[in-house]
Amino acid sequence: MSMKPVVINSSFTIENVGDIQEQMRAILARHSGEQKIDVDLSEVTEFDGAGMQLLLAFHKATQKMGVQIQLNNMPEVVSAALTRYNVISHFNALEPL
Amino acid sequence: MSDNDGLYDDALLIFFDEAREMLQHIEDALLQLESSPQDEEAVNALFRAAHTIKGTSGIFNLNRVVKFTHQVESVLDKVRKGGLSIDLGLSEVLFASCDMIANLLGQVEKHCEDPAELAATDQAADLLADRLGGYLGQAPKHAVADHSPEEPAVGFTPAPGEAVWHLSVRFHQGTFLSGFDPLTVIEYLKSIGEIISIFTIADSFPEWDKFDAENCYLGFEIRLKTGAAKADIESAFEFVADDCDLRIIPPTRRASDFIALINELPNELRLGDILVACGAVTREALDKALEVQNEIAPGPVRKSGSAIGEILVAQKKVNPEVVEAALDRQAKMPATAGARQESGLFVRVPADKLDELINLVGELVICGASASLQAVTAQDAGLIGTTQQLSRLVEEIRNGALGLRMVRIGETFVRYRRVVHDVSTELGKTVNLVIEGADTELDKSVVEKIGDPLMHLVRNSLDHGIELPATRMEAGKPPDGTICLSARHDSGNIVIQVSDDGKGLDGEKLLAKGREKGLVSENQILTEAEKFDLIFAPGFSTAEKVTNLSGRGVGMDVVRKNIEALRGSVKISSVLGQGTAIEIRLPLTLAIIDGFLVKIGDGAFVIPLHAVLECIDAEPGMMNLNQQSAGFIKLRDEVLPLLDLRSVFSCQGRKPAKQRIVVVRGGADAKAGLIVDRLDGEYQTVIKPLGKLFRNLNGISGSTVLGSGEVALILDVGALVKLATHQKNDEASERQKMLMKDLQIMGVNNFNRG
Repeated sequence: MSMKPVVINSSFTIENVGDIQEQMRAILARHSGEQKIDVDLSEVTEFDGAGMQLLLAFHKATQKMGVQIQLNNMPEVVSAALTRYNVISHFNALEPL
Repeated sequence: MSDNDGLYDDALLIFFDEAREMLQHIEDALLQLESSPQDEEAVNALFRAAHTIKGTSGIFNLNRVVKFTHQVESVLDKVRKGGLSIDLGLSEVLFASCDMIANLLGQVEKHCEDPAELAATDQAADLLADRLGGYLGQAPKHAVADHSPEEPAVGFTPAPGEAVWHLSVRFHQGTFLSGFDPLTVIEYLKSIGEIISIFTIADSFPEWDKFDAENCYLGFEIRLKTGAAKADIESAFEFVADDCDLRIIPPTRRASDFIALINELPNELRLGDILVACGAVTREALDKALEVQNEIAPGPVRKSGSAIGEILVAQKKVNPEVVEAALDRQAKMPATAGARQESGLFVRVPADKLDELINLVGELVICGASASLQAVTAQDAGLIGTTQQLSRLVEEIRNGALGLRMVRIGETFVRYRRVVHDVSTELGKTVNLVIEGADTELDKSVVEKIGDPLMHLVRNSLDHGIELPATRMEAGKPPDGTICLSARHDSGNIVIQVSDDGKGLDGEKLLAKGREKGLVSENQILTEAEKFDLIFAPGFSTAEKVTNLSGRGVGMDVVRKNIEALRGSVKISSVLGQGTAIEIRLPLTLAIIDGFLVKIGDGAFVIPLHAVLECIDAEPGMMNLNQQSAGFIKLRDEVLPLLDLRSVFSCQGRKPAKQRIVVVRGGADAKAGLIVDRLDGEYQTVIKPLGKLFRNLNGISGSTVLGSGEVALILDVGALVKLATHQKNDEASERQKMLMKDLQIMGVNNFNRG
C-alpha cells in the first residue's frame, strides 16, 4: 500500500514552505515502513530557494529513514532549478510534465 | 561600472609596478645563481617571482603573459625540484624570457594594438617557449612560423579570453526573512559572466526535527567565468552582503587558497571533494597541499588519496599557527606575504602630488621669509618670536617634505647588474659588480636623471676599462675584473663613484688624440687631470675600435652635460694599468638650496651655501685686479683667483668703500674669491628656473624671490670659478655681457616674475 502523497500547491516558495513542511512532517510521522513517498509537484507554478532547500532537507530526512521519495509530475520551473543547482540527481523523478 | 573600471585600471597600474619588481627579482636571482649555482633560496625566489607574475596576470586576463610565463614557471619548477640545474645556456634563456615577459607586459601597458607587432612578439615568445620546452622534454611546437593559438599548456588551462573565478557563498539563516532568495542572487551573476558550474551545499542543514523551512541553510560553490573585476562580482552580492559569507577566489588556481577555504568551513566534510568535482582544484594539488600540512602537523600521517574529510577531521586538532606556517610554505608565496605586510606600512603616492606639495612648501618658505622680514621691520618683539617659531616649523616641514622624495640609490644601482652581466658576456670578459652605499638616499628626480649618465659610465668601464681575461693575466691582475658603484653623502651633496680595476687612462694617448682633433694646440701643456678631462670634450673617443656599445664619441660630453644640468660636477682620476674612477658630485635635491645671500650694488645674489668656504675682507692693497674683472689675491700664501662680480654682471649702484670676498669652491679642488659689496648671511631659498631667454647665461643657475619680493639670482659657482681661473674674453662672454645688460634694462626687480 502506497502512502498518501505530498501534494504541493501552486507556490512552492518561502510563503508556503512552513505549511508544506508541516504536511511533510505529518506524513513522515505516520510513515510505517513503506519504501517510497510520492511528492506530487503538478500544481507547482512558483519555485524558489526556500522550496529547493525544503526538498533537499526532506530528501535527507527520508534517506536517513531508508525511505525513497519520488518527485512526480515535475514542472519545468522545478526541474530547471534542480538541474541548474546540480541536485536533480538526488531525486528519483518521473518524466516532467 | 565606470568606477569599477577606474579601480581596475588603478589595480592594473599597481600590477605593472609589481611585475617590474618581480622581473627585477628574477634578474637578481639569476645573477645570484651565476655566482652560487647551488643557492636554493635564489631558485625559490626565481620560482616565486615567475609564479606571482603568472598568477596576477591571470587575474587581469593577460593571457599572452600567462601562457608564456607558465612555460617559464614550469622550467623553474623542474629546477626547484632538482630535475634540472641552471647552467649558462639555461641562464641565458631565462634572461631572455625575463625580457620577453617585460616586453609582453609593456605591450599591454602601452595598449599596443598593432597586429604586426603583436604577431612578431608572439612568434618570438613561442620560439622562446620552445627553447624552454626543450628543458622540459617537450617537442618544439613552433618550428614553423605559423603558431597555433590553442596550445595546451601543461596542467594549466587558462580560459580563452576570460578567467574562471571561484565563489564560495554561505547564506545566513535570516536570508529568506530579509526578503531575499539566494537563487535570484545567483541568477544575477549571469549578467556579469557565465556560470560554469554550481554545487549546492546542504551540509549545514540541521536534523529534520530541528529544520525550519523558513530559515536559510543553503550554501553554494560556484565557478564563474568572467572578465569582470572582483569588485563587480562582489557587487552582485551587495544586497545580501549582511546575509551571507562570500569568499571569492581569483583565477589563480592555487591549492592553498582552497585549503584555506576548507579550513574556514570545518563542518563541511565533503567540501574538498566538491571543490575537486567542480574543477576548482585538482585532486593531486589538494592532496599534496594537505600532505604538506600533515607532515608538519603532529598527528597521524595520512596516505595520499585518503578521504579529504578524514584529513580535515585530523586537522581540527592542528594548532592554527602550525597550519598557517604550513600553508605559507605551501603557498610558496612568502614574497607576496611580505609585500602584503609592507603594503600596510607604505602608501603609494603619485609623484606629481608630491611635487605639488614640495612646490607649496617652497612658496611657504618664501612667504615665511617675508613674514620674518616684516616682523623685524615692525620691531614687534612678539611678532618676531612668532615668526621665528614659524620659520623653524617651516624648515621642519621642508625637510620632511623633501624627505618624502628621498629614495635609496641602491634600486638604481641594482639595475646595472644586468647590464654588467650582459655586456661582459658579450665581450667575453668576466666582471664582478660591487655595490657600496646602496642605502644612500637622494631625491627621486635626481635619481631618475642620473640613471642614463651612470649607465653610460658603467658601459664605458666595461667596454674600455676592463681588459680581456688573458690581457689581465699578462698584466698580473686577477682574470675577473671588478666594477665598483658606490654612493655616499658629503656635505649636502651625494657623491657617486664608478670605478674599475681596468687598464686606466693613458694621458699621453689622450693628449695625442686631443691634438689630432684640434682640441689642444701643439705647444699647450696640460696637467694629468686636464688630459683626462679631454674625454669629456665633444666628439672625443679613444677606442681604437668602435663597438656597438660605446666608442662612438657621443657619450662622455653628454654625460657631463647631463650632470652639470643637475648642478653637479664630474671628476675623473685614473692610474694607467690600474684602473679609472669617475666621481659624480650631485646636490641632494633640485628644489631648494641653502644659500648665502650677498648684495652687489642694487642686485641681490645667492651663492649656494655648500660652495662657500670662507668670507674675507677685500683690502684694495692686497688685490691685483686687471681691467677685465679678474685678478688674484694672496691668501695664506696661496694664490686665489678673484672675480669681481660687479663687473661680471654689470651691476648698477654705488660701490661701497669696503668690499668683501667670498671664497667659494667650484668643483673638487678649484677655489676662487668672488668680490661682492655686502654679505647678508645664510638664506634658505627655493629655486625657480630661469626663463628660456636667459637659460644660457653663464654663471647663473636660477632665480629666487626674496621675502621682500625682490628677485635674487642664484650663482652658478662652478661656472664662475672656471671664469676666474680661465679668463677668456671671447665672443661668448661678449654675448653674456649683452644679455646681462638687457637684464639690467628690463629691471632685475621684475625679472622672471609671473
